[in-house]
Amino acid sequence: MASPALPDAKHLSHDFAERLVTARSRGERLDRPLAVDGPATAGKTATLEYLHSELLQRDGHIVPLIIGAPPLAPDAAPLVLMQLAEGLHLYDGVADRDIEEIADPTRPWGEKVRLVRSRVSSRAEDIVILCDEPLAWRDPGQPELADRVEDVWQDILFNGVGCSVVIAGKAPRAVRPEYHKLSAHSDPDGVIEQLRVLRPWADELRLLLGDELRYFSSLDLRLLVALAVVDGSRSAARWYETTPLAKELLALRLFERMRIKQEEWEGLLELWIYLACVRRPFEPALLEYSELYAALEPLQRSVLSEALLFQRGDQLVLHETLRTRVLSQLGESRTHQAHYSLADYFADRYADHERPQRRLEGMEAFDHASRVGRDDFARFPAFFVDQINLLGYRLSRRGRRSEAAEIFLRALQLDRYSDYANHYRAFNLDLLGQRPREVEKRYREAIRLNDRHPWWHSRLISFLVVRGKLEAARLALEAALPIILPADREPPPRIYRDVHLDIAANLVHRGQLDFASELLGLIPEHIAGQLEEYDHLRWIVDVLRYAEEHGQYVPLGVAKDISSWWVTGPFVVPAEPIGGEPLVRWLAGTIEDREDGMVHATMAEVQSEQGPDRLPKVGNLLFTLQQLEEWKLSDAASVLDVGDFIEIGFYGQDERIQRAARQPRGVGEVELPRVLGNPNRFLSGGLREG
Amino acid sequence: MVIVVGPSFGESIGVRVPPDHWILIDSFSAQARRGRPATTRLTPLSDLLLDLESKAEVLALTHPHLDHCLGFDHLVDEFGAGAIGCVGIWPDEVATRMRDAATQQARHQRDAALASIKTRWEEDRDSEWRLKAGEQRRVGHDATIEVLFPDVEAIAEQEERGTYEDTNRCSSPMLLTWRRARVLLGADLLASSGWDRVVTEYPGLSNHSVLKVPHHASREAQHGGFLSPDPGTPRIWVATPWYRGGRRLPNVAACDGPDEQCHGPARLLRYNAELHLTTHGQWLTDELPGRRLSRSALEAVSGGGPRLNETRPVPPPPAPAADDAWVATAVDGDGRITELLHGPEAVVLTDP
Repeated sequence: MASPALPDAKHLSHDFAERLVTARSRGERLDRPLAVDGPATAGKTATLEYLHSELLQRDGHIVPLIIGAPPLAPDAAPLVLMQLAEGLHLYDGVADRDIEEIADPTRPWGEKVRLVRSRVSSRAEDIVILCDEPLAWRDPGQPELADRVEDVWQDILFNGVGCSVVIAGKAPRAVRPEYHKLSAHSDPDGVIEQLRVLRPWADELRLLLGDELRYFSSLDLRLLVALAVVDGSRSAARWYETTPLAKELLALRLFERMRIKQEEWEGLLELWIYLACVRRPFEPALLEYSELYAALEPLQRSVLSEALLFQRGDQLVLHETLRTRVLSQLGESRTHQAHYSLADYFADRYADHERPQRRLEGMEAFDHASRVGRDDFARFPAFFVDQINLLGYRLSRRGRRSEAAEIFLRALQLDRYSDYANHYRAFNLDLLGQRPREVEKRYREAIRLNDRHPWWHSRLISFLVVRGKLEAARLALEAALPIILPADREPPPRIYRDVHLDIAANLVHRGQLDFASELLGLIPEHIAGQLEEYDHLRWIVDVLRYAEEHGQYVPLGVAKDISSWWVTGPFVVPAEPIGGEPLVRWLAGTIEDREDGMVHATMAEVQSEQGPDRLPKVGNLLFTLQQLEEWKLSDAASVLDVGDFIEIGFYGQDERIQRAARQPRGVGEVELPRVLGNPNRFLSGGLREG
Repeated sequence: MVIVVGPSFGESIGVRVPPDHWILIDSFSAQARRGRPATTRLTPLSDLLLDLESKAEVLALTHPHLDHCLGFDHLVDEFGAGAIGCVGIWPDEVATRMRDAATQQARHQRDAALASIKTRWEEDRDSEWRLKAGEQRRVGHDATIEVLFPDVEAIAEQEERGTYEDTNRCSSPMLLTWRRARVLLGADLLASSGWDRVVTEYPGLSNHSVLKVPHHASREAQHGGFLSPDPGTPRIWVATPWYRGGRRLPNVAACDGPDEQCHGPARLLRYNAELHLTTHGQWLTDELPGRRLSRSALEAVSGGGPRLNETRPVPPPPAPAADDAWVATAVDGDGRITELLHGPEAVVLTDP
């Protein structure tokens, strides 16, 4: 496997090491964290790795700990905490008993953070924490879990525990590190020299692109070489020269070309997908375990080892770009088998008690198992309640609501004060239409524990609406709004979507138009304009109300403008003259009843297109099926049914010609607002317990 | 005291058992439909209970037709303090698309009524009162209300048909007994699908002081089992007219034929001197010759509805205010009528 030649990274890491060692030898500490920044493939992580090994070599007392998590990993905080604990454990900074406590899922998160903080604090002068892309740990899509990341930042890393900290990438806003920019450019000759089998393609590229290669990062250059192997050097060079932002697209281009040339590259493609599922550096043994590696052609192996994989100590790693870009192209079903297999791989390694840092592998096992919702998840170790919550979340997303509800119950047995677990236990039971008493109790408990989460309020209120408890829903809403819509700042539009629109949609399904309208009216106009669903929901509320009060005589989707349908019609009978006789009147209406050859209809007729008579005149019409036949109904009278819309047109000044037509079924239907779950989920079947 | 409110689309009955125990049967929300203007939003009985600061010890939905269940969820929420009665057949499917907003809104409101009932049953098991023949509830110290229908067979048939299909056939007449007074509340049960079985199971139903005439006094709902000749003591029969889309109940046509061939009022007046209608409904326009009308007088001014071949839609008559469309009667412990009151819209039919 090739070691990347990144002189800038090496130089910078050497600089950092110098300063850290010197400071320690003087009994001093750096005023603020050091940070290395630069573009995506510049070698920021590599800088930390070089620094790690140099610190170990230069000062046997220094304890450098690399910590990091895959971007937006929802379990980032537990992962980082466990990395710190396991790292310290290696250097006896954390006792066996301590690490058992940290791995005990019944221990509260806060206690674990405090324990690690105290252990770091007690050896602060020796410890250098190397944080890889800390900003990426926080997934804004999972704010409940992301808050844990803040705990780690504030209580351990950036808030005066006293240890030295080096950051790769951007630091959180409150931290003011000493930034050092890293160049994205590499030494192309150095990179090419390290290639063996792929060297000829690289040499060809050098000839074709010349100086251009100086602006390549090590990873980009290797990917371009791989592309040359797959497509030919000329083709790869031409693509690069003619494609805007080619470097950004390299990983995807390579992946796509392999897909197109699947016959030749299928084995490597599959292995790439497999390795893309691996979140952390891995031992070469994993390649053998995958069974895919053994089937690779020699050239494929060379592309893998010389272009795709990086060496990290005695481990290998697929660059994050190669992971995330590829995964973004794949559906869950494509990675299912990989995660399934990786769960077993890491579980086996966790089971080996001799392995150092085995709990980190245990966490990987749990993560892979939870991603595919394995039925046997009991065999995968969970050390944090958050992991269990995450499993519940993933099962919930897969629609496996019963299992999700059970998992959240397990989470609550470990931490009854988790607002997240309380809420999602309730939410899954709610969508299942089960245990309504428990649902309400847990929704309310989640709000008691954390009243700032809009969903916690919104789902309780929607549940109350679904249950027909409108007064309780109103009270809950009145209690929620001042909390989730603080007066001193404008809340983001998503709060209005998650609260106002969601609840209003549920109210529509319960016929509560006034309440729904009131709620929509609370959304500021400029925000309503930003909410995609707002206009449709507002329209639905308006048409339902209008129809309730005035009746409806034309299918909704035929005449969407409820205030002017009678002007724009007719919709079914011909608007053009018949036999030279123009249309002089038309009626539109609904069949209310048919009995004994008689048809009762409520019909409306336009009075005037302008002025105060603009509203249609509505009345009742009684006619026979025989008459309907005479009016030459376009479809047989016998198919006319209660609820059908019909039109009758009159032509000629004496209204001599009459035509009637039924508006075909299925035409003019519109979507009702979407809600989570069937609004009648608690109605079907027998009475619910609990 | 029995109060029957019926503004021509919607029926709501309140019964007060001394000293202050209330029963509410059915509900309406007098929202306009299909061009008929709104009157009040909810049955005026809710305002009455609010004024009296009372709750309902029994609240029952005889069947989930729109003219009986609109606003029932609000009654449960605001006034349900004891038994909540319902047959207990629930909807499950929901529409995701709609074509006719008026129909869809009605469906949503019916679902809401049933949701409120089921939720209450689940949250307060004592409130569960399944309306099935033979089920009873005590009201106050000395009154009992008993469900006469549906029987097990009718419930099974309704389950087969679906929650909202033809629910008159599974609606729940009830018999309230207070001391020696009997009040028969006929719901919308039809003769062939229910009363035949009810009168067999419960003989002597014609022995009552007050009858809420079943199904808006339609021909199909009357049965000899509760219409036997006047027992000698006066009986108050109250019907709630019904109007929708040009169709109306009851039909007040005269009849010389046998009972079964007569429309409701003609037949009813053979057995009782008077039939009280909660509203004169849509028959009368400007002229109201006193509140006491003979059937023939009524026919004379009714005009017979829209004529055949009339292609100009006939505008619906104005809906009566729900506050005005009622009949109330008080009965003593021996079943004697002690008071009879009519709302401004109510009329009395008598045979000339």
